[in-house]
Amino acid sequence: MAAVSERAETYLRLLAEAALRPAREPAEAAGRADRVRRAADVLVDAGVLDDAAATEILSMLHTALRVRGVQATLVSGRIRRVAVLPGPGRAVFGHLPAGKSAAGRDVPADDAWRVVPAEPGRARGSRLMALIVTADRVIAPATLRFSASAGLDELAAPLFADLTATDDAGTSYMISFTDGTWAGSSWTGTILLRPPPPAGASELSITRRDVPILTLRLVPAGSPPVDAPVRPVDDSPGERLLHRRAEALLGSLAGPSADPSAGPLTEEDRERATGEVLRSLGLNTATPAAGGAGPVAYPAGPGTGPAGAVLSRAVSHRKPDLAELVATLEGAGVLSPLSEVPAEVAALGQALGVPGLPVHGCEARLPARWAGVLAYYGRRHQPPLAPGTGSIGAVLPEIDGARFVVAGARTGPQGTVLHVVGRGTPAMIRPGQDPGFSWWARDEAGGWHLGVVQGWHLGTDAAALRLTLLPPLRPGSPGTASTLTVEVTGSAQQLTADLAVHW
Amino acid sequence: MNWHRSLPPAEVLVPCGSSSHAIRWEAGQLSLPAHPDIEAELVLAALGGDKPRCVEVAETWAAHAGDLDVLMAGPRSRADQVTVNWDDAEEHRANWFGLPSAPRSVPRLPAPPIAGGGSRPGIGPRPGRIVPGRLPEELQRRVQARIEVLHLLALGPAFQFRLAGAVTAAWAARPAGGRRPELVAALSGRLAPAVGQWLGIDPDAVIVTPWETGDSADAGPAGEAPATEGSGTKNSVRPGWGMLTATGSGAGRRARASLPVSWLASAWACGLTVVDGHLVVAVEEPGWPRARVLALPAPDEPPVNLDVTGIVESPEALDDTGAPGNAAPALPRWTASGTV
Repeated sequence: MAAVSERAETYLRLLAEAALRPAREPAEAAGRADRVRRAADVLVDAGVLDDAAATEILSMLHTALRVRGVQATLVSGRIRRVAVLPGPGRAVFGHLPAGKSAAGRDVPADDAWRVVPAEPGRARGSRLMALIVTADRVIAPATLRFSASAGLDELAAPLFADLTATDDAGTSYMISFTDGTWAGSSWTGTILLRPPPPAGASELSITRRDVPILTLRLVPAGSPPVDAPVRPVDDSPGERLLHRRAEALLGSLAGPSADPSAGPLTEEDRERATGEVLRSLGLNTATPAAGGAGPVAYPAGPGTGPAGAVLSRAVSHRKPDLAELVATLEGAGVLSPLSEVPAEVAALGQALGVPGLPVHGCEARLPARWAGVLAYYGRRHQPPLAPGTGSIGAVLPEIDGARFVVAGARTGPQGTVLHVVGRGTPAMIRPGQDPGFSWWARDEAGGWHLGVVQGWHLGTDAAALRLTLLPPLRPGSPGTASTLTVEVTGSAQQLTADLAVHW
Repeated sequence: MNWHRSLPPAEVLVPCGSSSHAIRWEAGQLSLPAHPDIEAELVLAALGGDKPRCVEVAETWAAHAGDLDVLMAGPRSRADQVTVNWDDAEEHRANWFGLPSAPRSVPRLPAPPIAGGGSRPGIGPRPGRIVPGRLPEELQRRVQARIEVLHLLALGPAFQFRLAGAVTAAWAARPAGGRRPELVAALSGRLAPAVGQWLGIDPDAVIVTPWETGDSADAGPAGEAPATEGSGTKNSVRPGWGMLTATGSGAGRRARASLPVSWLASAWACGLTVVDGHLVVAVEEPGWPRARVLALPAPDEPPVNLDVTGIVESPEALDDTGAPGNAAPALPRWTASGTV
C-alpha cells in the first residue's frame, strides 16, 4: 500500500508542477490549479492518498501560485476541515479511529462498546432496534410511537422536550436525538442518552409526562462480533472508487429520505436530494445527452431521469467528469487501463440519463446488482410498502480499521432505512461525501439491496448512519426479510455476514 | 558536494536594528559582515537581548537548508519570477487558514532601499506569531515553517536559487525515503522546462524520472562512476550521467529524460541548464567563472565535454569580489568556450 500511496502522491505533485508552468492567461493557471484540487479529492476518496498529504500539497501549491501572482482557491475548505477536527493521526483529517474521539481524546477500546439486541416479539408500539453502550453514552436506534391524537402539527421539538429517561438504579439521563423520519405518529431515528448506565442498572425507561414510551433492557453482557469472514478485495482502489461513485449515482433513485407527512415527492424534491449526491459523483455536465434517458422510465418523465434533471443545471463548483476521474486514477496507477469498470459506470450513467458521458463504453453490460436496482425503479408501478421496524443488533468484525454495529431497519411508505453505528469511519462532514464503504444486503429471495448513506450523526467517537436500502425491504412478504446477508466493502477489505432480522 | 563552486557570491541588504546590514552568500555559506561573532550574538539573545534580524535570517536559512518546501515554492527557471516580501508572508498566514492576521510583534519598518537603485519593499518586520489555540500544534508548526520559507524567498532571486541548491545538494546525499515524491516533482518541475526549451517543445511533453542510485537520492558527483540502481529496485548497476531520448516530430514530439537529483544542485541551481544549444546533464569540474560540463548536443547523442564561462549580465551585478552595494542577479549566464 505504501508504494500505491507513493505513486499517488508523486502523480499529484507532478500535476502541481504542471500547474505552476507559465500560462497564457490567469484563468488558464487557475484552471490547472483546480485540476490539481480535483485530483487530490479523487485520490483521497480512493483511499490512496492521505488527507493530510493532499492538504499539504494543495496548500503549498496555493502558496507557490500566490508568489507568482496567481490567485486560486485550493485549500480553504480542506484546511478548515482539518482545523475543526483536531487530534492526532488520521482523526485530524477526517477519520474517527477506534480508540480515539473526534476531539482527540483517548476512549476505551472496542470492547468497551456493549451491543444489546432488542427483545424480539413486540410487534406494536415503540420498538428498539439495538442498544449500543459506549464509553460515554447510549446509542439507541428506535421507532417511537406517540399517541395518534397528538397530530403531526404537535410532533416536533416540544414533544421531544417532554421526554425523560431514567433507569431502575435511579440514574437520570440527558436525552437527545438525531435526525429521524416521521410516519404518522411514529418517529424513527437514533436516541442518544448520557451518561452510560451504571453497572447496577438493568432497565432504562423513556417516558413522556409519566407515560412510558420505550423501555430498554440493560443486560451486563453484550453481543460478540458475528462470525463473518473478512477478506481482501479483488478490485483495485480505482475500481472501488468507481463502484462507490456508481452506487451513489444509483442512490439518486432514492430521492430524499424525507418526512412522509410532507406528501409525495415532487420533481423539485428529487432534484434537491439528488443534487447533493450527484455533485460528488464526477458525472456532471451542462448539456443533456441527445436521445434523453436510457431504458429506465422515471416518474420525472421521458428525457430527464432524476440524475439528468440535476445534471443539466450548471454546477458552479466543478467536479471531475468521468473521463478526468478515470484519467486521474490511471495516472496515479490505481486503475488499470484494461479495467471494465469505467465502461460500466458510463453505461449506468447512460441508463440513468446522465448527460455528457462518453459514448464509448456505454454499451457495456451492467453488473447484475446495478441492473436489479435499475429494474425495480424502472417499474411503472411499485407495490406499496407495509411499515415495520426490524431489530438486528449485530456487531460486525473490523474492516479497514472501522467497526460497525448494524442496529436494525425501518421500512416506511417511502422506503427502508438501515440504521448503522460506526467508528473508525471517515467523518461524514459534507453532503454527498464518499463514505468510503459500499453496503449491499441480500434478502432471502436472492435480491440485492444497495445501501446508500442518506444521513449521519457525528458523535465524539461514533457516527450514527442512516442507509437507505434500494430497493426497499418488504417486511411481511414471505422469504424476503427475516435474514439479511450484509456485504460491506472498504478500500482493502470486504466482509459478508448473515444477520437475523426480527420484525 | 561542491556544487556551489559554479556560482558567484551574492549579497542582499536587510533591515537590522536601526540600519541595513548585508547578508552575504559565498561558497555555499551565509555570512554576516556586520555581525562577525554570531555565537556571541546568540548568547546575548539567550540572555534576554534582542536578536539581530541578520542573525535571525541566518538561523532561518540554516533551519531550511534541507527543507523541500523551498523547492515547491521557489523558482523553476530563470524566467520563473517568484515575488514575495515579508508582508506577503503574513498575508499568506491569514489566507491559508482563514484566520485573522496574526498580530505583529514589531511595528512595520519602512522598506529599505537597496543599493544599485532597486528596491525590495517589505523586508521589514519580523514575523508575527500564530494565534495560539486556533490550530493544532503540528499545524501551527507547519504554518510557521512555511512563513519562514517565504521570508527566505523574500531575500530575492539570487538567494532563492542558492537556497534551492543547498536543499537539493542535501537531499542528493541521502536516501530519499518517504520524500521521494517531492524530489521527483522538484526534478521534473525544473528539468522538463529545460528540456522543453532545449528541444523547442512544451514541458508537458517531457517525462522526467530520477536517475537513482542505491544509497542516496541519486548518483554522486555527475559523470562519476556507476551508481547502483535499477528501475526502482536498486539492484543493478546504472553507470553514467542518465538518459534522454526523444520521439516524434513537430507538435507530436515527446521526450523522456532521466537525470540524478544532484543535477538540480550542480547544474540547475547554477544556471547550467542549456548552454549554446547543449543540454547540460552533469558538471564535471565546477567553478566560477569557468567550469567544465557534460552536455548533450542532441537527443540520443552521446554527451560531450564543454568548457563554459559564466558572466553576470545585470548592470547592477556583483563583480567577482561581490563587493557590498551591488544587487545580486538571479543566475549567471554561461557560454561555451570550447569543446574538450
